Amino acid sequence: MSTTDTTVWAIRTEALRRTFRDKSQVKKKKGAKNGDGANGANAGNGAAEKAKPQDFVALDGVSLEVGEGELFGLLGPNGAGKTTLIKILATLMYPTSGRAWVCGYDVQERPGQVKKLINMVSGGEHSGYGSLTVRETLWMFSQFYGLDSREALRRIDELMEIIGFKDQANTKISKLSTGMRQKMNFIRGFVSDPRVLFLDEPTLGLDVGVSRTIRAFVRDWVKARPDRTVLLTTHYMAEADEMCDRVAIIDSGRVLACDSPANLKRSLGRDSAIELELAGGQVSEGGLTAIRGVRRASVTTEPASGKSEATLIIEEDGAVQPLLGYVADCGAQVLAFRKKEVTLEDVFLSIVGRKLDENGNANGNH
Amino acid sequence: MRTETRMETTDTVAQALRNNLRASWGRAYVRVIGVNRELSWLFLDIVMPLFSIAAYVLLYRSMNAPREYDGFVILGALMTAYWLNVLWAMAAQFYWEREMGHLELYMMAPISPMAILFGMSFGGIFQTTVRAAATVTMGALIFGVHFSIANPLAVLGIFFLTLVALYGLGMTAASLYLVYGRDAQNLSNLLQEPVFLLSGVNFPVKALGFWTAATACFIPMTLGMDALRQLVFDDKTTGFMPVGWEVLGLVVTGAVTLIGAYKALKYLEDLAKRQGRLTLKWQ
Amino acid sequence: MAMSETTIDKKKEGFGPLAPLREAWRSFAPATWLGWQIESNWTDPFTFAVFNLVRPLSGALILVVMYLVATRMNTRTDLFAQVYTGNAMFTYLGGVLFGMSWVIHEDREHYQMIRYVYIGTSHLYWYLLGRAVAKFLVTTLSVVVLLTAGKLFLGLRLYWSVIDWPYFLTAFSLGLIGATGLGLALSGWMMLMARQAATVSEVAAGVFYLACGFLFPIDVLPTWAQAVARWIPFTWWNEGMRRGLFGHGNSQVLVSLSNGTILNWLAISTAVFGALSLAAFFGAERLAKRRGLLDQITDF
Repeated sequence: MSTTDTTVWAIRTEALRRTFRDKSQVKKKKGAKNGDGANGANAGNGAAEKAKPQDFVALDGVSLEVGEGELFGLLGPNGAGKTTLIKILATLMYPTSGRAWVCGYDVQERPGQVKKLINMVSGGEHSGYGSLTVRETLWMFSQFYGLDSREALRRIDELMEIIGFKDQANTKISKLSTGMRQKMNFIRGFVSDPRVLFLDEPTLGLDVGVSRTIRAFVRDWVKARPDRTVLLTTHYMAEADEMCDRVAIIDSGRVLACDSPANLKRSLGRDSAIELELAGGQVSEGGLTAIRGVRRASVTTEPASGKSEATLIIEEDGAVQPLLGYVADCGAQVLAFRKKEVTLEDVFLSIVGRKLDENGNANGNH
Repeated sequence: MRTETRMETTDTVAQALRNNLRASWGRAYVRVIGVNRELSWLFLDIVMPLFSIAAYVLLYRSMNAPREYDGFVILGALMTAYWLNVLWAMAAQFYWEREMGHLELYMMAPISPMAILFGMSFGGIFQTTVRAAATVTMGALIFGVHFSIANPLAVLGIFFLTLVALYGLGMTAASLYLVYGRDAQNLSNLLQEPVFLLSGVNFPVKALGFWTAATACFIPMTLGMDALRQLVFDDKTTGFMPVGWEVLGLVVTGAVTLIGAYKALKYLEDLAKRQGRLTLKWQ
Repeated sequence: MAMSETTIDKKKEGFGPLAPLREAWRSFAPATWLGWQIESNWTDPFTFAVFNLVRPLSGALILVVMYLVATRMNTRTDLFAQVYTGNAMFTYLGGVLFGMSWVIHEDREHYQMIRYVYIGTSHLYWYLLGRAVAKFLVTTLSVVVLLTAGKLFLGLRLYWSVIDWPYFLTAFSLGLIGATGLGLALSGWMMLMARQAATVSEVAAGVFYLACGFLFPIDVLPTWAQAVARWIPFTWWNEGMRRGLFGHGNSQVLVSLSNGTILNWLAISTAVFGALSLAAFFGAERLAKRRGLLDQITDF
């Protein structure tokens, strides 16, 4: 084992770009009108016509630097490119262009070295063979990291104790509920004691109690030793706010902002966030942003009740009067008006122009 | 910028070998332990081939075939079990591993993917041997098949070489299936009965005629079974070619398939990473 | 009373003696269409060829070579015709048994739609029957290819003029009813089992392949097995179809029985088998409901 001193980041990417060929665009039926070719329902029987394949851009020039010992969050809606970035860093996918390093090793040129230092846990993961027990499964995965069996089992027992999973140690995987299976896979990521851990939406679909346990464990784990780094992707704002030292907001494959949650919130400056609950009327995002002093607006309407909820970022309090005037002109009734503390959600709305819902979808106009 | 230490960890050959062997054993364990855990499947896996043995033996008997043909059927059932294991639990396995989300975990681990394939092979051989041994023993007892083995070591040696070549082929196919996704299942189906036919599972392969039999020799099972038929029943008249040539053929096929598996895996892993298909499910 | 109102409304919806049939048709017709879409794989000629041509033809060719090496005769013999057609006709039994029982696993776990079929107005067995019809149609293609290839390339002694069509079709239809009944029973069993147990239907098909004289006459079976075979409708099905196709069967122990007697035994055994199969299906269905297994996912 030789040691080389050099200046590196735990994770660094440089103008990372990744595109995918969108196969659904390759074939279009002759005679299909715009928009009806996708399902082919109205397509004629003519010969298939080859259309030029469209490239889907998953990452578009991502440059990031994550320091050692950091708990770094990637915040963005579904399809923003978070998982693609993690897959590239985990040596599972090559970038189309650009470069990435983990602990100073180029992920494309030195994957062997990178693999020794990393592990990954994805939310909603269902890995594991049904006929093995939880403890056996975790032992099996530990063997892929060359761990001595005794040491591996010691770590597994310790982690199961901390996560509150010890009672299930000898349960067969096939008997585990989805949440339990996710807990097991979460432990799997830590058994090899990686220097860099990728957590891809680790609390996806988990109940509140389990999510809280997992978040607390991750925070303690990363702070326990200065050389541990976590890259966490999430679309839960509160999770990113609560856990991360720094957060990068990513959308459509681009990093739009990167700083600590506190700084990001401060970046809104004198801007304030306003929430309106409305009944009836036709309030539009376009109409709201046209008002002088309103920077961003997002409106969600419940069709059944006809009620709407608008979130706005306003630059000055003077915008409130014209805002209420516009709402009245639209025939809407104001049920509630709240001026609130700026949250990461407001930062996201301000930067991306859309609101992120609890399922990870971004709603609203650009 | 902050300063940190880059740990250049270079494993010795012995360390690398030990780590990869550990990984192989980890993957094999699933199959080895599975034999004990799923006794109902064990029953089915033994009973099913017994039915097919009975059907083919009784067919031969109804046609007044020589009694040694009963033995050909038993031998055929033995090798059929391994071929099915190679097709479904080796070749198509990487495809299923990807669907289950395991493949990305294997590929991300600091080991050679070949270690996983070796583990799957070892586990598969163990699993199949337990089932096939039970089937063959019961079949031989029920139908009173007489084996006349003059050289048990040669029989074991050829059997071992056949398994190496077969599982080497399975490892190569697993790499190919990595890229060809869902069609893998159809390919496995395509290679089932036609390979039984070409390799002469229930009859001496020379009955297919020289050119067909010679072409079929590219399938390791053909060479292995032809050699075993000659040695197990001590009957050179049914053989397609001398056992020595078949041993040579098996050694060459074994080496080619193992090297082929390594090369194919490296190339196709690279291709899959470039195309982003290594972790793509339901394609 | 709310209860009686509901009853009246339901009666309004499906009034008249044909109402149950209309409801059954609503399940049966789309199931047949769906099964055809799944089984035929028309969109993928490769898959279609593998499952419906290459595999059955290769299986048949294994028997051809076995016949050639064992008898050292050519294929223009009665013996070959009996072996070859028996194997071809078995495709129906194997196909229907596996096809129907696999539907339970496929629709329950892969497509996860069995719960919606189940809560529909007509009974699940109409849906299964619809899928069986689709399987039957696709299998017919394989059988036609097998017999045509046998006739063209192997000189199969099967002559149009010899075939007693009314007799053959009667026997064939009765046997299919038996096969479908057994398919239902296996489907019921599958409701209680994990996905991996799907091979049970192959084992069941294997038993009949062996015991009912598809490949060789039941004469070569031990006496006790011959006695068992006489209780299974597929033994009579086989004998009936052979007599319809060739004018004679291939079993010496059944040779003394007249064609009418064979059909009678086929009808009686099919009726008994069918009744037992239906009872087994409904019993298994009740048990599956009690244990909450109707839409279980065996994810391992």
